[in-house]
Amino acid sequence: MASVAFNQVTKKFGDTSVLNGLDLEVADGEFLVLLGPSGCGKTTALRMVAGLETPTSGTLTIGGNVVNDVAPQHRDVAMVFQNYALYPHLSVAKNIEFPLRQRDVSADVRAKKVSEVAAMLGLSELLDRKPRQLSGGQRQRVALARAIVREPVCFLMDEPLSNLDATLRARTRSEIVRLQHELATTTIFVTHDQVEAMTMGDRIAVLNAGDLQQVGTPTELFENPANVFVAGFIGNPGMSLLSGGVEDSKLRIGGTETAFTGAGASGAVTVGVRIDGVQLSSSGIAAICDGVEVLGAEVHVLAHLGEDQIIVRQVASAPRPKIGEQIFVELTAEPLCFDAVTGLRVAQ
Amino acid sequence: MTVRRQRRSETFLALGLVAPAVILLSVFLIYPFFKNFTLFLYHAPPYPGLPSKWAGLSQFFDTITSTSFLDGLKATVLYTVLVVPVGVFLGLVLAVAAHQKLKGMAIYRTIFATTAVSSVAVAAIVFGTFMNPVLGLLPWLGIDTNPTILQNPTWAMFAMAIIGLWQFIGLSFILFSAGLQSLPEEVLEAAKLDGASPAKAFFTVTIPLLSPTIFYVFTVGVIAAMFTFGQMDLLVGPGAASAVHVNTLAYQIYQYVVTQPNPGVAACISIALFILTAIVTLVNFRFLERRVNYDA
Amino acid sequence: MTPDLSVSAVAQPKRSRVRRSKIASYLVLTLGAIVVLFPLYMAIVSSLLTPVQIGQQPPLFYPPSPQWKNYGDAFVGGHLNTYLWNSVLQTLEIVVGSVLTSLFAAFAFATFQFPFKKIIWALILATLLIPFEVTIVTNYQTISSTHLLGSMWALTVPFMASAVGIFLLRQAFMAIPGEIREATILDGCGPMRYFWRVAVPLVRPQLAAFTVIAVLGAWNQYLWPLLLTSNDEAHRTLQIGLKTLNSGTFEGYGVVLAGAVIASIPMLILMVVFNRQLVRSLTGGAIK
Repeated sequence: MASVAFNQVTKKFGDTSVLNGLDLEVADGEFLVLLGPSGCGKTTALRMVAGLETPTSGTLTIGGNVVNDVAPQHRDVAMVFQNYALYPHLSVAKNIEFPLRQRDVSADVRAKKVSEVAAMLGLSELLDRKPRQLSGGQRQRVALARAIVREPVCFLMDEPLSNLDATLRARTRSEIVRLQHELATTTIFVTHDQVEAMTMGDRIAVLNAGDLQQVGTPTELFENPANVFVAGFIGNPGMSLLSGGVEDSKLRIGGTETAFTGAGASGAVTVGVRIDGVQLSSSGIAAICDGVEVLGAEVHVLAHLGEDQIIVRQVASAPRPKIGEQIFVELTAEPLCFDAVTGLRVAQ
Repeated sequence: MTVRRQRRSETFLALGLVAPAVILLSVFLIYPFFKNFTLFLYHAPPYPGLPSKWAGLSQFFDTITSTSFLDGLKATVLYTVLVVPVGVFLGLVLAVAAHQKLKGMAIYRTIFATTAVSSVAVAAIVFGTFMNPVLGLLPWLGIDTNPTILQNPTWAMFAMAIIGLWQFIGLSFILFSAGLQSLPEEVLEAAKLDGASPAKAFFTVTIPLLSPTIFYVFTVGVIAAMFTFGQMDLLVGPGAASAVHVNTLAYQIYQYVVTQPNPGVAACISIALFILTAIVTLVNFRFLERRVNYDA
Repeated sequence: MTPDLSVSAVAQPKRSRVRRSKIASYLVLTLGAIVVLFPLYMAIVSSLLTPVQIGQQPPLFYPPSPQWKNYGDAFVGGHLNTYLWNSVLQTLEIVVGSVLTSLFAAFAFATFQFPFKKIIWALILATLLIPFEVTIVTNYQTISSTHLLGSMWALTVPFMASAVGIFLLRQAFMAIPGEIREATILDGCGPMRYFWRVAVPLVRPQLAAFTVIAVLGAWNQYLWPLLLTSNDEAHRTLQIGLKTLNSGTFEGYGVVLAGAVIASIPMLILMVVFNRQLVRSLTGGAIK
């Protein structure tokens, strides 16, 4: 096991910068998720740890050693690709065995390890099959087995769950987490799905357009987002973001005013509220109802004021507004404030 | 229009659309192919206009056991053996080298493809001038081929083979380049991460994944080689061909149609050559296909 | 498991190993390029030499006084102007013919149901196995008996259908989503209108690919024109014209090689301009 560290790592393709000065440390044995929308640079960062891309500038270290110029085959990291990348001409057993063959491990040890890992992942019955005879979920387990079998210092996973259907995905999620705890190997996991990130990671690093937005535990990101991007991205649904202004210790949102105790904020701000931090009431922020989503035990009321969207959670039994009707939203919890220009969180 | 009438008119339209192609293919490919099987049973008349005499299968067996046929068979096989394996190998090597992400690859790729678009006449003439004993390049290289390599019973076939090889490399290269480009990038990356050195990854992953292409290039090459005669005609000519052992079976067919017309014998050789090629292709199929790894 | 401390030890060798393999690749490629280009290069050079210069030992590798008149001789005295024109005509006829018949047939197979469809398709596929060389015995008789001998049609009609073309284009037509045809039906569009206005434009890439290969095949043809025009100068194509030139009366090789260069240029231009289509048609679905 080893720690992984990015030190001011930048990656440019031609003139386009895909990663801008990333500083990130992954602790030994940690499960770190790289989260962000497509094109944010998370896969590029992962591939740099693998050695499949080289940093344009900055240093990348694994286990304390700078690895910028080290070839992938010498890094002792294992990767699970999004499309599994199994060797189509080899059986499952030979697929799993492949990394061991490259390291001159003796045949008996190889066979033993292959059967151990196959048992761990429930593949013992499938060892003689070829990849084209396996289902998606089975192929993914073979890819995992191949990564596990050589006990690398680090696992790299590139959106391994995105090709699975919903039920399989949920089950595989917990399996991967359980495996990682058992093996205690440093793992870097890339995904665009924030639910995956929140449920699996010890820590999450949120990226957008090549910049690191915030890194922290799921709770930290949820309760203390560092900027509007993280606030809107994390959570299901994400935070509702409204425009407002701070003046003379008062917070103005859409016609209402509340007392504002936070320091360091003035002028235009973006206000963030979660669906459980607001409620419908007879007075408050005026908005127009856009629709009502019935989720069973609870109901989400969608509304807009000006160009901002807001979602309010209600119990199913509460009276539901009609589309186009004017509703009033009252804040029940302290909202978060972000600078309207920079998007950064301002002190509360 | 009722559905039924529409379907009727569609049927007419469809058959009408298909007709030109089918008629042409039938007249110029299918009919002639099968006509061989009647022609070969008759001796050609000594003068045109006279009826043909029945020969039965004896003409066929006489033909394929004749020295000229056997010599032609040897020539055809030798040519194929000289051209195809080397051409497949060189095309693969060059395609692999050109597949790297290095500067100027596009230029190299264009260069190698040029031989695939040259005609046999051009290739034969160009190489023919090299082989001229007095004016060509061979004297410069210190090779004495008196009188000329093209009249040398031992080496004439090698001259023919070099021309064929030069032409084949272009096609081989193009096919292998396309094959390499269609390989799944991720699988090769996985091999790298699994610790395989570039050489090891090439032999244990790339080549197996490329096996359908290798098989295809081999098959295409063999078929084209077995029907070669262009450079023989242009540089050696029908008169001298058998003397220097370059009288391939395809060339003999031409001769029995044009220079010494004998439809019966021509049909015999056509059938024999076709059967030979079919056998070789089938063997190729069985032998190589078992090792070919088509993935999902 | 402890971190792999050998990691730092191999950091240096990687750079030089990569560089060594790059050099090896460039070496292989350059060697190959020289071998491949050398014949054509020498052909061009020699085509610009006088007969005396050609006889020189050691051979000249560039023309000291380019003899452009060799090209003139090839065209006029060597009749390449006639042959060139014949080749252009022949290629044009063959390509237009085979493109049209292939488009029609492929469209029919992809769009309609009709009786004998399976048998006819099997027939067409079967022709892929029949090499042209085994058909010349009868084809020659056929052409002579229909008195087409001595005309351009004799050279072109046998090739105006192509199983390869039908195969490629049928795949292309089948890839058009059925909904598009359904939408045009609802708009009142008949099948042939749909064919010309919608279907054919949608298969342009494959059509281009087939056209390129058809042009290449027609222009470079040797066997059939040899059969028909060895004694027919008026209709002789460029390739057979080269053969005549080669066995002809010009002193030295300059004029002959000038002819060879002239014959190669159109196809080389084609290859450069239509490289993608050429590759696509050569691999036509055989490579996944």
